[in-house]
Formats: sequence, structure tokens, C-alpha cells
Amino acid sequence: MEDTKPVWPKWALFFVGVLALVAVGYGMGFVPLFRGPLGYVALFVWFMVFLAYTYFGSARLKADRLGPIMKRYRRRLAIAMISYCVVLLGSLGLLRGSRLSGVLLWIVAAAPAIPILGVLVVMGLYLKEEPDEFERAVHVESMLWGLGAVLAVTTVWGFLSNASVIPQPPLFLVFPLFCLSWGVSQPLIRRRYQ
Amino acid sequence: MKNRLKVLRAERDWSQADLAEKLQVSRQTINALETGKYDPSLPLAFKIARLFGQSIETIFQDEA
Repeated sequence: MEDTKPVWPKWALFFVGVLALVAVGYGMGFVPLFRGPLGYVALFVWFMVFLAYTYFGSARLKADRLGPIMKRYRRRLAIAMISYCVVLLGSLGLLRGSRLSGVLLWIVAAAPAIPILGVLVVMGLYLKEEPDEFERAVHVESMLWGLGAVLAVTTVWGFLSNASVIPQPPLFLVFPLFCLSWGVSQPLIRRRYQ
Repeated sequence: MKNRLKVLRAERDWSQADLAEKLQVSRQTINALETGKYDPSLPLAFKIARLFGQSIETIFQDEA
């Protein structure tokens, strides 16, 4: 059969790589060498490696060639993520280095959210532009899985933290959680249609 | 929904990729359609019917 090749081992391998890279990034926080200005450089380099891995890795997972709409979506996504990294590092640097106050503090503190909001727009544009209805359906369903995961985790966490069992949830991690469950659910959804 | 896509495609000696290209969808979409696991929208069903020169009813069989 030309099309029933199992793709899930490839996906599993890819996600192991993603987790390993995340672990490396997390581990960097414990290295004293990376606590100074060098930390920003190290974080930037790590982020670029991570982005390149997910960008080129996910392209290789696809059995089909990427269509022009998918290519455009991925390009926009990459631009948004690179700007996120730059803005985040800049914002962290400014928040730590200087004593900001008033409107400037608000702007600098909220700045990293702007490229993330851009990612939402990019996702919306993709759904609008994708001419393949099946691809669109798979994306919408995986987004619902992402939404479900976020709602489930934050609701449970919220009640636990209400009772002071655990600390308040770090809200900035809600979006990465959405992206993670969105990404993981895709091969599982696709498997159902094979 | 059951359909005769695979047979029609084989009659014309087209690969899944060929049909995908003609319908401007991905090969995975063709696979999902052929296995009957994904039912196309009306516009796509009409597109398929036109491509094979048959009516929708002769390509897709409603089990109800």
C-alpha cells in the first residue's frame, strides 16, 4: 500500500527530541555560567536551535509535500516565534536591568505577549486560507484538543491553588500547553483517518 | 460513507497523489475519503463527481 506506512514512530522520535531540547533549556537555568549576560546569548541560541529543530523536523514528518498555504503559515509562524524570542529577551533584560515604572513598565512587561497574539492571528489566517477541507478539519479538531487540555489543567490547578494546596498557576504557560497538546493530538487524529 | 473512489481511481490508473493533485487536496485527504472515514462537503463531492463524470449518488452510497 502506498499510504498506510506507520508514521507514529517518526512522530514519537520527534517528540522525544522536543522534550530533550526542552530539558536542555531548563537545565541551562541551573548552570551559573549562564546567569549573567551570557545567559541571554545562550537562551537565544537555544531558542533558535529549538525552533530550527521543530521547523525542519515537522516538515520531514509530513508524507506529502507542503502546499503553498502550509508553507506560508509556517513562515509566518517562524517569524512570530523569532520575534517572540527577541522581544522576550529584550523585555527580561529591561525589567531586570533598570527600574521602569508607569506606562513604560506596562509596555515592556506586556511586550512578549504581542508576538504570541500574532501566533493566534497566524493560526486564524491559516484556517481561513487552507483550501483542503480535511486538513482544516484536522487542525480545528486538534485545536479543540488543545483547548480541552488547557481548560482541564487550569481548572484543576485553579481549584487546587484556591485551597492553597499548590501555588497559583503560571498563566504564561497556558499558551505553550495549548501548543503542546495541539501538536501531540495531530498525529493521533490523523491516525484515525488512515 | 461507502464510496467507489478507489475503483474509479484504479480504472483511470491514477495514484492517490494524482487524484489529490486534480482535486487540489492532500494525499492524506484522498486516503481519508477512500477509506470512508471522512465524508466530503457538498462542494468537494460535486468536484469529485465532475472529475469522474458521474453523479454523486453513483460514487457515494448512503447506507441509511
